[in-house]
Amino acid sequence: MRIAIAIVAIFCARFLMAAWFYQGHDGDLAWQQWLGAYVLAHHQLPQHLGRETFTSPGAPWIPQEWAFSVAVAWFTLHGRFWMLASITVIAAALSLLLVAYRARRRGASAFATALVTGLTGFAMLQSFGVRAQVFGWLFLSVLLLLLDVENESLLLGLVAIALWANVHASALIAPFIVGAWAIGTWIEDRAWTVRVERNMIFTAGSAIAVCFTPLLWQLPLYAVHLQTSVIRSAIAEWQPPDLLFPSMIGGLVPLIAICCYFGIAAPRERWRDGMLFAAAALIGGLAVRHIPLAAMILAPMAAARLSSAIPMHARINTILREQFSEILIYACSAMVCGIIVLDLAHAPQTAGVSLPKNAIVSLSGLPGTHNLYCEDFAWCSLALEKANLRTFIDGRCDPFPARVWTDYLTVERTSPQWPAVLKRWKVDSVLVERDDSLAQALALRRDWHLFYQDRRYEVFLHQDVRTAQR
Amino acid sequence: MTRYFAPLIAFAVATAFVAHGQILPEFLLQLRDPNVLGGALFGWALKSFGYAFVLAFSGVLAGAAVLLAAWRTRLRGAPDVYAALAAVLAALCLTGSFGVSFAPVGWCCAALFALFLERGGRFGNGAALAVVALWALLQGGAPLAALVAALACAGAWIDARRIDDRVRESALVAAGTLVLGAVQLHAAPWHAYGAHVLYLDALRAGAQRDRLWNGGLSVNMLAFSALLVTAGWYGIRRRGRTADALTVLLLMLLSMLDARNLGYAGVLAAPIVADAVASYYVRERTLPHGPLTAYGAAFAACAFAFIATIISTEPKAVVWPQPPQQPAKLLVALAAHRGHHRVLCEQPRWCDGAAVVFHTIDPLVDDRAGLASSTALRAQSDAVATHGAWRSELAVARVDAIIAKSDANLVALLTQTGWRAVQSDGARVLLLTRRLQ
Repeated sequence: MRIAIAIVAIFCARFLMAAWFYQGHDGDLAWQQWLGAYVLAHHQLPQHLGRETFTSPGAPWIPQEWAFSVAVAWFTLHGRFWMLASITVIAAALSLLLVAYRARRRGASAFATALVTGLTGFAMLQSFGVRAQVFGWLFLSVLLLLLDVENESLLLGLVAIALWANVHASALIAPFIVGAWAIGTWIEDRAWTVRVERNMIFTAGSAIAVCFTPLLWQLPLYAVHLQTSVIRSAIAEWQPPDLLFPSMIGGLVPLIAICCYFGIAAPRERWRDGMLFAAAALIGGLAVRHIPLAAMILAPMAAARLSSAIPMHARINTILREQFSEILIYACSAMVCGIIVLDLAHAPQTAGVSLPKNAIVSLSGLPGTHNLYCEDFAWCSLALEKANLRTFIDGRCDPFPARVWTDYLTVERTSPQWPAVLKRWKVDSVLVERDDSLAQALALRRDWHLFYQDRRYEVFLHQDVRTAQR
Repeated sequence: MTRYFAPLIAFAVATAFVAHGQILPEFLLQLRDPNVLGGALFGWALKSFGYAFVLAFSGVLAGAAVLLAAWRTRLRGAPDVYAALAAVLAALCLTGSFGVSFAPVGWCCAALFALFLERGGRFGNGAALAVVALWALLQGGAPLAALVAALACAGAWIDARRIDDRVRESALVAAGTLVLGAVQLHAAPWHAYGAHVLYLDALRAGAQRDRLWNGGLSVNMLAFSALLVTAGWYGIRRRGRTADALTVLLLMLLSMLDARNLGYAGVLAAPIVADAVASYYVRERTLPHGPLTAYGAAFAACAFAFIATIISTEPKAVVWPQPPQQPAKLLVALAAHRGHHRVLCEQPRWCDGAAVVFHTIDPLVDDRAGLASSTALRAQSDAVATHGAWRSELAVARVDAIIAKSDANLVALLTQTGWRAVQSDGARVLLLTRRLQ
């Protein structure tokens, strides 16, 4: 476990640097801050989109990340974003520590525990950010621990699931995991035992617990709707995983390989684990955002099975238990943490990236109200707080109707009909990344002219805006 | 009763294969591949017996591969029901790759090679090498055999923890496989060719890749998940053979790199996985009775009847049908323009075989990315992403025609700067430079 702590510390350093500079990376924080500020001011959740969008005012909205948004607003408005970033890092670290603890509870050796903790850390790297889903990881870890413990405290899991549902809609995965576990116990016991009954009740309870939010039954409905929504194709985290992704090749795939090598269910009559393995193997292939979830499910099983091949008394585990080895590993861990912090603090891909805040400020400085299209819809979240800017689609993305999304994608992909779409929606300003295909296409048009340019972004205005200014 | 499950599944596969009835774009490239003889053989079969024969024969080959996978499971001592499980898993993995190409030849050779490799001994090893020689001559997939043989050698060494007779024997087979596999490589750079056989060249920027996971529920994804979950549930080291585990893991990795390798994974890994399941439930292992020739003759009789039925019910056609994915109409329109044309296809596979059919058309990149120059691949990649100096790269590569989806950004950008869409097939357009209009 101590070696695992040293590994978690290394990932914490990496996570911390990502969280520290996260405001410059992710436009979603802007709409979450806007939503949180709304909730703090009005003490209720918005039910519809407002006049801040010109394409879909009045469209019904299910603000599923409301609790996290309140936290974002509170910390940001009080100038303490660093505190929220730190809490997010702690949540990720606790998730990793719980993975290590669950592995140890299953009798995993020091080496196996450390290895699977590291692999889970890699699986988390790609999706980590100051985001609601990171807290979802923590809730999942707690739920899996309660399932492992499998005593009367299991029902505490209902509280965890209810809290999880208020933070992020990924809580909808909980009834499926608990249900798979319950079916596994049923197969193991081959009868309706007390344990099976309790797990079945827990499954039913977890399905009800996800409705314990201000959104009630609308949250599960929203999650079901999202599975077939057109917006999935436009969101990177919803794209299917690929072997070449670092979180796959360095995290989930090795875990799956260990499980396949040793076998999860049959060798020890652990049908519960087998059911969870099947669920994790399936969801891990559906979307990038599921990779950490699948890794957290599989890691302790993989560690336990690996320990049967490299047992506690094996030479490597004996060496790892020696005091000198521990000191050495902690020293190396501290050194690596230092290198990560020093290196990433100045790395362009971490500290050098910035959102188009200046572009939005420049545009909002123009007289009149402007209909803004952003090549990346998340950038438009920065415009929500500007009274004279209306967005085509912004980071709230879910409530925008399918036809608006189709039009958004037509322009974003620079399909031949893109000028007609912009004209139909009366878009008068477009925010693009320099040299992207849309920027190239706008530069070739006579009815659009460059209004703003910096090292990364450009804003084009329609000729009507220029005429109006004159 | 259960002993008939695997043959039933095998002929269901053959029937499904024939029902699919199309040729894959890569087949047009394989037909003219100077490295292998399969093209000449398939061409002769087309002229002599017609397309229905080729289709039915390919279906029988796919069915035979499934049956060989089941037979291999049976030879490991697993009862018939587990042989049927292996057949189901193998059939699922093949389903996504149905269509006439050289792949069924490869599946069949792979299944036979693994069967003989496991049998070992003088006859087994000799037969395995003979299969590799045939495989290399017909389809060119021998690098996979070399990999499997090398893993068998490594596995034997790990299990024995010393170099004993078995390790030496498997090392000899691996070396022989490597040499025989290299015999075919006389007309193309061997490294590029070997990479293309296992579709590793699809990883190059600008190449086209078939990904296992595409965000939805595909046949490939379900087949891979079935193999993965069964393997993970029971564990592939249950028989204590490291070579088995190494082979399954390698094939899973290859499938994740490109889904076209999933067929090989099904044929080679399904028996190992089914055997792992059997080792959990079965205490006593039994080997099949009866002479192999009798089983072979029974299968051949069924295969002949199957092919005869297909041929007699289908009209005789002696030309290859157009692969449905190909933009044939656009390629014909391009060939109608005088002169030699360098064409960029948004998806390289659209250009497969274009140079064979139309001698005036020269694709910038087709499916054989391993053989394409890095300049051509960069131009392809940049142009499709409209990234960097893509216009000048197109000019340097002398591309004067482009086939792309109608709603591609490339189309919108080029039509703003002098290129014209001269032909459309509904989903795709042919763009020409101004000088060709």
